[in-house]
Amino acid sequence: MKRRVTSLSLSLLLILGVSLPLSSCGGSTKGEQTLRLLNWEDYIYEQDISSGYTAEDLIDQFIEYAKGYGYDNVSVIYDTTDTNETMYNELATGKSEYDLICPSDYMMQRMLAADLLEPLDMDKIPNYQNYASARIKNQLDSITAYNTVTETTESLADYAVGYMWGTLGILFNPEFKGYSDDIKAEEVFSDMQSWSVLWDEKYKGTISIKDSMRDTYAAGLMYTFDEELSELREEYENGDIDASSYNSALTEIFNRCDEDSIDLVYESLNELKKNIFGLEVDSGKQDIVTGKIGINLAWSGDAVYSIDQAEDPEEVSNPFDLYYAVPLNGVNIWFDGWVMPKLEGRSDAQVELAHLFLNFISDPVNAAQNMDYIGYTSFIAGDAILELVRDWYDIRTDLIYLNEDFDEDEDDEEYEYYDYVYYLDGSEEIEVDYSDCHFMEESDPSFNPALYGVFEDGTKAGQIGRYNERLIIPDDIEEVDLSYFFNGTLEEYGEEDMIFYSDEYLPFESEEGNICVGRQFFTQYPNEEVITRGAVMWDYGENNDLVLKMWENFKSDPLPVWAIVVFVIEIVVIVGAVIYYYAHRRHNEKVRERNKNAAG
Amino acid sequence: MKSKSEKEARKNRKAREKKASALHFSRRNLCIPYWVFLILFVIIPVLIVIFYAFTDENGYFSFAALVNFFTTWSKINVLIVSLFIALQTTIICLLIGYPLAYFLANKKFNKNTVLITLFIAPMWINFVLRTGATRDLLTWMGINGGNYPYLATMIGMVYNYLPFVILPLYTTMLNLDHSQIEAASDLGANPFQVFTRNIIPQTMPGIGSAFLMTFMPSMSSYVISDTLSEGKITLFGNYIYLDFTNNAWNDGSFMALIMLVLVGLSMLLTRNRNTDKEERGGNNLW
Repeated sequence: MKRRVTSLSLSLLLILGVSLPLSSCGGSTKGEQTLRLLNWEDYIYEQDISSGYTAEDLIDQFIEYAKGYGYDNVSVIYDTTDTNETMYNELATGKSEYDLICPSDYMMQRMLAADLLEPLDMDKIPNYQNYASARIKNQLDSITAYNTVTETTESLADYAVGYMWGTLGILFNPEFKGYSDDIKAEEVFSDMQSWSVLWDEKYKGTISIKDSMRDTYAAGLMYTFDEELSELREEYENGDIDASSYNSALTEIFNRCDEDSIDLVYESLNELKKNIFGLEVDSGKQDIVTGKIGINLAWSGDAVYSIDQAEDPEEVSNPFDLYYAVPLNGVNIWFDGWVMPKLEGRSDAQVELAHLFLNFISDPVNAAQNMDYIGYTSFIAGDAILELVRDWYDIRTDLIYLNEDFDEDEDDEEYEYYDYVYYLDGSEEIEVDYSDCHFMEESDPSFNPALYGVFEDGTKAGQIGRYNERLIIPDDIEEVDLSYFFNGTLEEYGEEDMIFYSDEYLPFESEEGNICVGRQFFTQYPNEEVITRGAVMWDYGENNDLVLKMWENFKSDPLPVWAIVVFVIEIVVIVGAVIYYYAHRRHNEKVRERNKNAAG
Repeated sequence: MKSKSEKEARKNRKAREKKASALHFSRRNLCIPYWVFLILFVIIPVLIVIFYAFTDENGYFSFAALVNFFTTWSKINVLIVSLFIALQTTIICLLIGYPLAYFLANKKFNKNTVLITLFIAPMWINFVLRTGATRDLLTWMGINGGNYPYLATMIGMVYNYLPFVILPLYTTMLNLDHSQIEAASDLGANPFQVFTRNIIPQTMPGIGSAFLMTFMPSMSSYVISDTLSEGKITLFGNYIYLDFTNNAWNDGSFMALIMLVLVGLSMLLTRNRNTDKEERGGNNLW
C-alpha cells in the first residue's frame, strides 16, 4: 500500500485547490440549500485518520467550497445503497427526493429510457469538460436510450457525469496449488488470454464467478461467441476494419440478449457451473488472498484490492503475487456516473448547487483524493491524477526508506516494501553511503522520507525526492503509454510525462504481441488496446425478463439422485408413521368402546 | 386468574387515586400499542404481499404470478430443494437434540444448568458472523462448499438451528411425568415401549414446537446456504430476493405468499397436536 505516502501530499494540494475559488468568487448569497445524494457504500472520500486520510470528508470540503459561490449554508444529505435496482425503484416509485444519484451504465440508460432523468447543463461543469479523459468519456457519451415518453433517442452525454470506470476481468494466482498437477505458471499466464480458461477442466474447482446476473452473463457471452470474436479480432489486427468499427461490432456481440443467444449462453453457463468452486459477490476478493480459490471473475477495483492484500506482509504470512487478466477477445467496460433524477419543485438554486457539486468532484485534485481512498479508477485525468498514478506505480517514485536503524534491522517492513533494485541498476552489491543521506523526523512539516539512489552521473547517494527523472531505468522495465487517457487534460505536464515506467504492467506478452495480463497498474489503467477491446453492456430492455428467467434456471439446481431417494424415503416414512398413528388410535378407541360395551 | 386480575384492578385503582389529575385510562386501552404494532407491522405488510401477489405490473388484478409460479419448473424445483434441506435440518436436529435435551433435563445426568446455557450460547451471536466462521472452519477441515455443497450447508443449518430444537424440548422434558414412566415399566413395558408409548407422547408438544421453529425458518433462510454452499444451492429465500432485486415484485410476492401459506399449514398441523395434548395436561410452548 503506497497510498499512505500519497495522501499526505494530497492533503497539502487540497488546501491549495480549495482556497483558490474561495478568494476568486464572492457572489451573492444564495442562503440555505440542501443537496441530496445517493451513492454506493465506500464510494466517496471520507476522513480516516488512523489510515492516514487526514483531510476532511469530501462532502465537508464541498460545503466549504460552496461558500465561495454564495451558498452560505449548504447541508448535504448523503445516503448509500447497494444495488442499481434499488436506485431504480427509488425513482420509479416516485419516492426519491435525491438531487444526484450514482448508478451504473446500464441503469442510467434504463432510467433515461423511462424518462426519469433531468438533463445536465454541461457548461456549468467545466472541470468535467476539461479534465475527464476524452477516450473514456466518449464511451459513456456514446450510450443512447430511446426515451419512451418523449419518443426520442437521447444520449447519456447530456445526462451523466462519469465518476468511476473499470473492467471485468480475471484475477488469478499463477502459483496456486489447487490446479491439476504439472501446470506451470507460464501455462496459466497463456491460458488467461481467453475466457475459456473458466471452462477449462485443468482449473476445475478453483474458480469463483460472480453471483450477479449481468456479470456472469457477460462472461458466458464471451465464451459462447468466442469464435466469432476471434475472427473479428483477426480482421482488426490485419487492418481490415478500423478500431471504431471493431469496437462497435464487439459491442453488438456483447449486447446480444435475444432468445437464441440466451439459450446458448445458458448452455455454456451450465457447463461452467460444473467447473467452478462457487459463486460470490463479495467473498471472492478475500478468498483468493486466503488461498481458497485460484481464479476469480473480478471487477478491476476489487482486483486491485486483492493484489494489494496478497502482497502485503501485514495481511498474509506468505505474501504472493496475484495478476489480473483481460482476455484478448473482448472485455466488459463499466462506468458509474452521476445523474439527476426528475423531481417536482426542485428550485433553480438547487439545480445550480448540484452542478457545482459535480464540478467540484470533477476537479482533478478532488478526484485524486477520491480515487486514492476508494481504489477505483476515476473518469478524471489531469495533473493531480497523473501525480497520483506516478506515485503509485512509476518506478521512478519507488522509494527507499532509510531510517536510523536501517542497517541493524533488515526486516524493517517499510524498507522491505520498496524495491531498491531499480535504483542500483541491477547490481547485486548494495553499498550505501549513509553520510550523504538526509534523515528527517516524521514530525518535520516537510517530511519526505530520506531517499537513496544511483544517478546517471554515477552519484550514489542523496535525497532524491518524490520523483526523479535522473534515475536509471533498468532495461527490463518497459514504457507504459497512457497518453490515450491523459491526452488534453494536462497543464503542467507534457506529452513525455504520459509515459510511465513500471514493472507491474507487462510481465507477460502473448504471441501476437498483445498485452492482457498485469498487476495493479494494469488493472487500474489498462493500455489503449484493452479500451479498444472493451464493450459496454447495455440495459437488456424488454429482454431483461428473459435473462432473469435464464439466470433463475441457472441458479436452481435439481436435487442430486441420492437426495431424491432420501427425500422420498423420508416422506414415505413420515406419512406412514402418521397414518399408522391415527389408525392405531382409532383401533384403540374401538377396543376401548368394545370393552366399555362389554362391561356395560 | 380471577384473583390476579382483581389484585391488578386494585393496584390500578390505587395508582389512579395517587394520580388523580392523570387522564382516565381503562385497562383495555393498554392494548392499543400492541394493536397498532400488529396492524402496522403484521397485518398491513401481509395485505401488501397479497396485493402484489395477485396484481400485474400496472396494479390490475391478475393471476399471472400464480400461473408463472406453477408453470416454471425452476421455481417448483427451488421449492422442492428448500423443502428437502429444511426437512433434513429438522430431522437431524431432532435426532441430535432429542437425546441431548433428555439428558440435559434429567437431574441424574446433568446437575448443572450451565450446560444447557452452553448449548444455547451460540444463539447470542449474530448468525451471519457465525456462518462466516463456520465457512472458514469447514474449509480448514476440508469440507468446502465448492466440493460438498450439500454437506457444508447441512452442517451449517444444523449448527444454527440446533438451539431452537434443544430449547423447547428441554422445557418439555423438565416437566416429564416420571411416575408415569415408572408405572409403564412396572406394568411390564420394555425400555423401547416406554420410550415410544410414553416418553414420546409426553414430549410431543416439544417436538411440535421444535419442528415449527426449525422447519420454516430453515426453508426461508438463505444466508447460510449461500455462504456455505458457495452459492451453489439456491433456496426459496434467495429466489424471492432475486425477484425483488430485479423488479419482479409480483412474482416475488407470490412466492412470499406461498411461504406464508406453508407456515400457516405447518402451524395448523402442530396446533392440532398441541391442543390434543393440552387436554391431557402437556405443556405448550408456542
